[in-house]
Amino acid sequence: MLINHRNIFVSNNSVTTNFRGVTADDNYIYATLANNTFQKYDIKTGATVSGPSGILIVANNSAITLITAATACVFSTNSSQVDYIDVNTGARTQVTSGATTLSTQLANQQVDSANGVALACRSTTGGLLRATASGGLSNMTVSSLSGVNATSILANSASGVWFVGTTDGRILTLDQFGNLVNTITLSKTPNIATPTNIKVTGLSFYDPYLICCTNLGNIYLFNYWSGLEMDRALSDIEQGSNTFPSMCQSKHGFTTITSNIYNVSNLTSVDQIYFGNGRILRTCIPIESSISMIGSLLTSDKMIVWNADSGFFQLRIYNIDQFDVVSVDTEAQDPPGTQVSARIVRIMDNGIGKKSLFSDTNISAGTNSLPAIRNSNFIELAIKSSSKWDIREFTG
Amino acid sequence: MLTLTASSFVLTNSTITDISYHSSNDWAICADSGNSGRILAFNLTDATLAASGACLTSSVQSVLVVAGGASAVVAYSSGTSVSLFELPSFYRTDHTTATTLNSSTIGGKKGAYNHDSGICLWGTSTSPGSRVLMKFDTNTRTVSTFTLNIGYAYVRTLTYIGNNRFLIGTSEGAIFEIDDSGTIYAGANLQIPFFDTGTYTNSIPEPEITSIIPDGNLLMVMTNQGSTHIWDWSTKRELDLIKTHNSSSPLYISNSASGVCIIARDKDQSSSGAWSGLNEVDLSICPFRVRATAFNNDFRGYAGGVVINPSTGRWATIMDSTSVRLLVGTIIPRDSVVQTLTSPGDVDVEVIIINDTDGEVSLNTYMKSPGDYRLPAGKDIIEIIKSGEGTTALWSVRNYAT
Repeated sequence: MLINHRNIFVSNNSVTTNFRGVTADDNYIYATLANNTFQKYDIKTGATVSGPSGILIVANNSAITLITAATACVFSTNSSQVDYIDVNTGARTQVTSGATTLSTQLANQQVDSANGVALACRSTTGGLLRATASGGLSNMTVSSLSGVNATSILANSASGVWFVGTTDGRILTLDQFGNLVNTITLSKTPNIATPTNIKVTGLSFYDPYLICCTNLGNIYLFNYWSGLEMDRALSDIEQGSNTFPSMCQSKHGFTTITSNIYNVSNLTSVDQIYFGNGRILRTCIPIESSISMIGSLLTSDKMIVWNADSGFFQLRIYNIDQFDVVSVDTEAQDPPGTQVSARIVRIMDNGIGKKSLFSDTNISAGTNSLPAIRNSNFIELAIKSSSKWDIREFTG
Repeated sequence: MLTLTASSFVLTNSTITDISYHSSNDWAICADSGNSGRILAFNLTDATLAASGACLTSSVQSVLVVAGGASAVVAYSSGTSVSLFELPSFYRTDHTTATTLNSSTIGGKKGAYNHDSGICLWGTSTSPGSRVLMKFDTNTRTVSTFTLNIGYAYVRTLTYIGNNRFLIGTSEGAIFEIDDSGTIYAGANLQIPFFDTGTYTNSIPEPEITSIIPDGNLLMVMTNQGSTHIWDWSTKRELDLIKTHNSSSPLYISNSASGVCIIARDKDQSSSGAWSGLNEVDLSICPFRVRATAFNNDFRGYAGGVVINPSTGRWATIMDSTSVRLLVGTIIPRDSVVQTLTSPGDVDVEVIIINDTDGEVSLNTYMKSPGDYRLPAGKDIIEIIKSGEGTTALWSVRNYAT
């Protein structure tokens, strides 16, 4: 189990106002609040870091991203202004030239950055707001966004492209100048009329798989390179025009989903998703009731969630098992002592009802190193023939 | 793949409270508490109205198709009668009862019919501790009540599972297996637990069971807390949990047609014009995987639920908005086989079924041997059975084609 919330809760950073945007690096969490302040927290302890914390920032702030390791950009839904914050000193630079407003406030994945460039979901149709590390802002026209809004953004720094979810059920791949690289369109059939408002509100990528969630409560998994839909599942949200579920950038094929819609006295949960094998393996983690989860982040050993409801203005840090990809040796012998070739099937074991085929490999005679996930449980089946097999359990 | 068609007509002044299917006529039969109370039979082939019958009062809450389609039984939330309609004439007779149904529950069936004995059962009052079931014998046409010993609870929903047994879901989160005389079978119950929310909790009330959909040993169970569960009934083990909805914007889950169900996700009820999806899932093979999604718009709920006629694969639901319309369509029945799995000894064992053709784990459950489970047909299967835990666990593996 990746997320086990029992006894691993690290910190509950309660404030007297809403959390809006949250981002993190390996050591700190950076947040913007509805009282127009910036906050910096130690990711290990949850303690507030004095200095930059508490500085005033743009009103109606809605999203934050680290455009460089030392600089955060803060965007607004009401002011045509972007604040550049030195996250070490708290020094603030307000840039208005070329700025525009963002479209959605209580939502995650409204901005992302890579290689010194940030792209954000602006409030008007037809394009994105582009920011550079040097303070340059521009309204970038994107022809494939003509008449529609961007609803989620995910940077893929490895290839220098951005995945952009839209209000008409598409995932665009753009370069940093808005040139269209690729398009994936969600299925909209059958229907009694063509759906006009399927928002792609959350994105996560683990090459070659691109996964997304929508305001209608579904999760879609694609092979990004072929465009083929690999799997589809229900997500842990109720659907609606104001629903804005979001995902986070994948870590080794894992992501999480949160939803900003809640109902008093009803369950609130975070979904843990593993999609690194081309299937959706979903585990529901009940959190509590009556809160809306604006967003979530995964680091190598932490899950961060934040919510915004009257009386529950919290940012929470959860310890999770470290879960990077590791190699685990295996071999087949027949008879004992004689190494032979075999078929090795590894099943990720997240508990009863939560098993997923992780890998299926033909190995040669001898010791072979095959991938596994650190701290995850596996069942390994070695098949020599239909009547010759062996089985073992191990933890990666 | 789902198909979807909306009726060309609009039902005026109608409020659909329940929907059932008539297998041989391929009808959806709806209970309408509008228009002075009536039941409506629609052709599932083309969404046209086939026939209708006037009810005794407008408080019609439940309609059950009984006696192999020879009759339909209607129960009310006021008055003191149950009505039996002979089909296809829709000739009605009324039979006095001592109680009425509740009218406040949503999302689940309030009544169930024993196909073997001809007995109908309904939950009645929603007062905690009322525990009263109403019973109608379609053979003798007599009505009676009996009280269940289920504590400070009431029966929220119920379903028939064969062998003269019903499952009831209570307002206190429990499921019991009973017969039509009120006997509760030992060991045949489970309790949906309080949700374990770890170290920081805002209180979550005990969930009420609002729907129970059985398929073989598996149950899909929905609660009013926004959670939907998959349980193995033979071992009372929870296999999956998903937060899918909230109590004011519920899910509606159809009956199972060889494991295939339709889950209708209600849209945000606070606004009109939003889009919604009807999702086809397979309860017994990778539950909560969506096989297909059908889209519609501009409505405020799927009143009365969703129903599939398993013999034809046609389904129906009522789109309840300012203009009430019928939605019909078809599913492609999943090609599956029921496999009896066995293991030595009278202990719970773990079963892992790998669909080796498609490369996925299609079933993972605890079971009591022998157990019947639905597996995908036409596939190469690797079946792994584990008895015990740790280094002393016993394993068996076999390959076969379905």
